[in-house]
Amino acid sequence: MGNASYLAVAFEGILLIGALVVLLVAVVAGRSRAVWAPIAGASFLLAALAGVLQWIEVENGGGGMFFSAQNLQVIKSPMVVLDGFSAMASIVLGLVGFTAMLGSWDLVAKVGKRSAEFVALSLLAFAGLHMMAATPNLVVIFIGLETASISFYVLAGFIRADVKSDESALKYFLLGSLASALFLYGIALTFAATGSLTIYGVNSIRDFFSETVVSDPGILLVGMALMLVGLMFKISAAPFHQWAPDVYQGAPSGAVGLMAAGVKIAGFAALGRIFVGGFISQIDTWGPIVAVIAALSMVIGTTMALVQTDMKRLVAYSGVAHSGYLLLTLLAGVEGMSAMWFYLATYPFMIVGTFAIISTVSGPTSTSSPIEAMRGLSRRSPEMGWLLAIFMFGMSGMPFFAGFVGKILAFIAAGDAGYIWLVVVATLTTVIGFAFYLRVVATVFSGEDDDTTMIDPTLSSRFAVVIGATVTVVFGIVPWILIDVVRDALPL
Amino acid sequence: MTVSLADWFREAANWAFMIIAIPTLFAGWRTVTSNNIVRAVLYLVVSLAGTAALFIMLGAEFVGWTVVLVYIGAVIILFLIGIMITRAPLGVDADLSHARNVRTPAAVLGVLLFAVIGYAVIDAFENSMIEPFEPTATADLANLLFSRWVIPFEVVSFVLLAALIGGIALARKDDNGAQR
Repeated sequence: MGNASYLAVAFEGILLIGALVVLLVAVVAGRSRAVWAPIAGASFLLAALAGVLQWIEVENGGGGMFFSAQNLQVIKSPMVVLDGFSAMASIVLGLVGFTAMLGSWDLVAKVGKRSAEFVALSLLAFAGLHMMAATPNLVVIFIGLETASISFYVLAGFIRADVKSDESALKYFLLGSLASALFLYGIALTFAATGSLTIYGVNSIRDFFSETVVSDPGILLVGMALMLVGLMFKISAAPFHQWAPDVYQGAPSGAVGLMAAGVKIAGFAALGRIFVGGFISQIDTWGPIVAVIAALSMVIGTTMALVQTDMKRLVAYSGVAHSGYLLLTLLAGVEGMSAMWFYLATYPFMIVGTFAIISTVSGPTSTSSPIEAMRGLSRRSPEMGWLLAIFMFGMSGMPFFAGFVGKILAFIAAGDAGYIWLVVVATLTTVIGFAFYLRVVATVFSGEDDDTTMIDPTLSSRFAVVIGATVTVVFGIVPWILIDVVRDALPL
Repeated sequence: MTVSLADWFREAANWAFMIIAIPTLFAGWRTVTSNNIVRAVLYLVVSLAGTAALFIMLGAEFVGWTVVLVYIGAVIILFLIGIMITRAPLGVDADLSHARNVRTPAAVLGVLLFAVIGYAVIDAFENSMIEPFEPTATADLANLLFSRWVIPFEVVSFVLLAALIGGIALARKDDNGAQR
């Protein structure tokens, strides 16, 4: 038990140590970026490796629940859980974090003396994000959410000299704090209703549902609804999505990939943990609400993306639609979790890759990135042009790209759960969605010959884009490799 | 169990509650409606003090005194210092209430949320009598905090670290002006 309990918190431990080392090195060895590039990269990769070890431990029958202190097992209130779900979250967050950090490196180079803070905040944020997936305790989920949110508010406003960046950070902060407050209120009301803050263990929420007939569900309903609203805000599902386009556009291009991808993964991991892990017996209550939110997200995200002229806003609205597709997997309960992890293991790489390209084309500190800036990209930087096309195909759900497989798995999950109307809506929005993704691709491959300003991407953003594209293509052509793995990524 | 109004007024604790709650609510109302930022902050002090008193009435001594020490003692002082050193306009500022067009929807939404949550809570607990209880001793709280809840307690320190780094990153002066 001793070693496994360290392994259970290894992801957080490695990233937190990494963040502290970066801060210390920045003080001791001066503020040369070259010093903490390896530290940040190694932290994320080691964290992902810890995830692999966690996975092996779980596959060998290890894992389970861990308490604050082993001698206190009398009060069975687990704080950390090691299962396929949390191990998968470690692997995905570690690798996405590594790739996103590569994509952000141009920005780190630009922020001068504050670059150590940028790196440290990113590491802390990802530790918080994983906390949301790896704990059965609602309070710890909230603390993890806050660790990540506070870091991301700062990253959104990192370019202080730019008013748009400030506005983006303030908007994110105010609306995000409101969402966090609602989530916390939901936890409190759920505690009032069930008498428990923990999803597993003795006197848990699950025990409550198996032992009690809920005759008067009012307070429980409000509690669940508020938690749902809080998390829906974080994953930018409609109608709680209005912040996303403004924040994506206003935040420095180099930082958006990191924020957007990380929050999506952890937000859905927390939704899966709470609603599928804890409230699965109430699925008839929350299922229809999630279905309506999913439909709204897909329709609003797709239609709004059609009229965007800014690349970052377009990706933001497409992210709203993708949240809708991802929500389909929740409706299938435990059976949908593998589909959710397939989606979460591929789609964030497309976000990261796309933003690495946006950051290369419009500059890492830029706050707007018109689609027109992509015109003729296939000639100005052939690799970036082609790879952006791959990401657009991947997001649109074109066959032979990972996005297609992810969508099909999500549709199957929703269909099995009996939401046929939702699958119809999802198919329609996917088809309509091709319009704006292909518009970007057309822009990339068109343009007069007079604009021949070549774009020379840095090595780090090249790496980020290539990793993202590899994931998109490989798991589109041979998806069963990943499908076999995520089959075991289930909550305890 | 139904409580008649006369019984309700016969209970001394209810009088104490009213005496604390009404000024707290009034101060909260003035905090968001005052046009003078310093006055708004001072009303917030009253509102927070009332909250602290209510916590103490509930037997949550430690939480009550934490509100006094941390919020009234530290946060409000920071507000005032912040207002002073940023040379924000003191006195009446008409801009503070420029968002008149969102007032009504905001008020409706607030009342609606209050009604829903209030109804749910009353609906859930209307018939249950809360047993008389001992005030929570700070020592008990500390024992729990450093045993069962030690992992969340540790993680909270990283929230604070993130906030601290973030605050420095946003406020620090760049001497090479590299952020453009």
